[in-house]
Amino acid sequence: MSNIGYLSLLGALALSVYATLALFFGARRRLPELIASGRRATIGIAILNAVAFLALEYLLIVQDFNVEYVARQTSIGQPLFYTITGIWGGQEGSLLFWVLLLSLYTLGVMWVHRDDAPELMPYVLSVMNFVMVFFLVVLNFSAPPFRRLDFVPVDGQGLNPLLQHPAMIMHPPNLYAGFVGFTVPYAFAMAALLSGRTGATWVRLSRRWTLIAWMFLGLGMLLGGWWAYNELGWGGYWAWDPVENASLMPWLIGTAFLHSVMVQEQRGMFKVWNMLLIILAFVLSIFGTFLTRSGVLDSIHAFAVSSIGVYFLVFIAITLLGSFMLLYDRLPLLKSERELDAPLSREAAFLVNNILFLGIWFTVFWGTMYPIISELVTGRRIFVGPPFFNMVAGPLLLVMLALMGIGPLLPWRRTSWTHAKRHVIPPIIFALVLMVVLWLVGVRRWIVVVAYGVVGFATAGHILEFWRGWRAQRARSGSHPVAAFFELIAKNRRRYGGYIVHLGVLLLTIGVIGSKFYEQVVDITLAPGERTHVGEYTVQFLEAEGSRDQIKERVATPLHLWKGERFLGTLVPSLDYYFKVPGGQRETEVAVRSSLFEDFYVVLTGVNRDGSATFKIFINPLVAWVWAGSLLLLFGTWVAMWPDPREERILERLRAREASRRSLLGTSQA
Amino acid sequence: MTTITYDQPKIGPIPKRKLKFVIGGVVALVSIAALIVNGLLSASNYYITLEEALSQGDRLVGKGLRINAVVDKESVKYDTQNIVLTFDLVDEAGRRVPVVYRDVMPDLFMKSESVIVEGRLNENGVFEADLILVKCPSKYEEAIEPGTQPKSNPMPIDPSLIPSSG
Repeated sequence: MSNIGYLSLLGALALSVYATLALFFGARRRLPELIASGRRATIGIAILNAVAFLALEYLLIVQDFNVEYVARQTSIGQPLFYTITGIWGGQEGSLLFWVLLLSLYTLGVMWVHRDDAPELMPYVLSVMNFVMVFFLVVLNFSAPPFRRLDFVPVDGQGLNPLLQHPAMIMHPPNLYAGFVGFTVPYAFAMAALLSGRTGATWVRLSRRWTLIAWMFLGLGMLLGGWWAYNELGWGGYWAWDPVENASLMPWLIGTAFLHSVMVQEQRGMFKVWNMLLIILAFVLSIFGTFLTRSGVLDSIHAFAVSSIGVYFLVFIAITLLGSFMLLYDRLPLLKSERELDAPLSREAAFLVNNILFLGIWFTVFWGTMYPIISELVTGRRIFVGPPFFNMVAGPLLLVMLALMGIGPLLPWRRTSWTHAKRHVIPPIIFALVLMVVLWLVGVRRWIVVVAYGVVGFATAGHILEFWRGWRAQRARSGSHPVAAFFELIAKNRRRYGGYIVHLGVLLLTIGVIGSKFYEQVVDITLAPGERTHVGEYTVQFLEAEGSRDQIKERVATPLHLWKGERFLGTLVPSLDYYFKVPGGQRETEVAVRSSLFEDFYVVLTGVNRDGSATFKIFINPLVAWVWAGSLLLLFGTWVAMWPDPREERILERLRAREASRRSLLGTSQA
Repeated sequence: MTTITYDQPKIGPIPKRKLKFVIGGVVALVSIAALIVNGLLSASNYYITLEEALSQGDRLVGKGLRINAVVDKESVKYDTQNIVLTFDLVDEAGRRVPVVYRDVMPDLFMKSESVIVEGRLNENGVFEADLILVKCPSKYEEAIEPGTQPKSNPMPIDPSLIPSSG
């Protein structure tokens, strides 16, 4: 079985080289047979990748420990679910998973756009296959998943118990689906340059793919944060760890791209800028995979400097160099059709939005790479921690939120002051009232008051937009108020989906500010039966209970929890000891009682000889809002992605124009 | 290559209308740069070796530091009642720096050979850590050797963790 996998990967590599070249020259020389052959090769690659993936999956399930990867990722007694998903737990398997995902995306692109832009599509597929060549080279020559050991271990090492958590199992595939997904818009952009068709077509066709990648990346980060919060026991969900930053960076640039392509679609501007953004987003996706997999940075995630690092650096260099040279060559094709008219216009708002996103990205990038940069320049490794990111990115994010409140209210081209005032004044009044109320309620940190003021401003602006649209829709259609609301969204999914995403971001921000500025932490030791008060809460420790199963020992310490007089339930924080892991391993099981306004979060730190237990208790305000906001954000993305009648009409028109051009071309050639 | 014809891009002075956008852009970029520089100045931390911690201790007192070194497992003491973890970092030359960490022991602490500690040196030469980074399990791959077999039950949880009542 390992030979089948090995040969499949070799075959896939050969085919991907062929497909890249066949599609490229087929498009350039206009040879339909060559293009068709390249398309068939693309299908072949997908089949071979799937065979390799299934072969490795089979080896994992039958636990053939002679295969090194299997011996690492699974062990006797490991639940089947974690054995199956253990395929993306290590380097080789996750690269194989990358390749499979890329194949799926390529097939998807090929199928969805089978009737679109015939000059563009072969180039798109060629670029995607070129990326495929790189990953297959790494898989075949640097990180072979099917390598056999020269002995058969009695048992495998198994997946680390810390990672045996549903969120952690789904976290990497989502991140990868996001990283890989940025290949699609990048391929469209390069195809536009290669074919010289640099209008809005590539942007329109790839928009939904960008959204898919962007959504997966966001979902991956959400799951990572959720896992850290519920598993790691330090009371937080985001630590500005280099690996977290690795997924945040393409997400930020992707966000900037999603906004600025609208300007290209609507106004024919920012063409070069969009190219730069998508090149950057793609390179950052590769860079993200590189950071998570190569261990160049000191991070809790990485330590082994592996050989794949060099491959990645070379590929990144080739990509950057090639893309920029191509872009430079085609610059004259990318001239703006119009110029910015006024500073108070939607275009200008998008421009500022882009500067801010790039600023935040650069902050994250600089902070992440600072140890390496400073070592190169001064010979001394200097690093910056979370305070740096919070200090620099915090204010930028706040300005961004303020802009988010203004941008949607501004029309394209230019705005009169009276129009702007009419739209902006009500949200400003709302924000001011909110700030006064917060102050009176006892929120005395000015930065929190200001931040919530900005959030209030942007929220009010969005709600007013919904309200105006809804009122107009009701007047127009005369339908039931609830129906009118849904009609409004259905009529322009892109727009209202985007607004829902904005509202999600605002909810998330409310949660982040609350949990960042008002976290409380206490350490307490309780004897069995003892009670104590923590803020408004009362806890009573019952008694430590020991237990043991096949893979671990557990000490559990149940606590009764009351808020005021009301009994909330029993929390069971515990400590596990996994004795099957070489060297043994402790794991903290956090207990959380979550409510809309705050989380009561308990970590058992130890049980003492006299039977008492020591706990670290966090009271984290508004964490539920972080999760709720993230979910709303994902929901909004989904709404924006859903086929939109207006956009379908535009695409239809594009296709019709395409067809007539083709028939004209055909007659002139004939 | 598909046939492409195009004009040479024109280069000339910036028109007046564009000027305000250029000024606005420059102001935005300068403020972002200022924020970053300010952040770097106030939040930088230094990587040091154990040798530097010992020889230049006075100079480094109070500065944000980060040391990557091996933990002497014998020296580890964990007071679960007051939540204080103390241990020594050692290097090949046998130099050691005592560390105190007033927080919960990270799950993988006892498993990892080397750790990264972040914090400050105090006047007594003790490193007061406020963060300990250990290797993350996603990359925790040990060499597999012949006869690799899990020990059935080498050691329960720290003896102090088992309730005396049983």
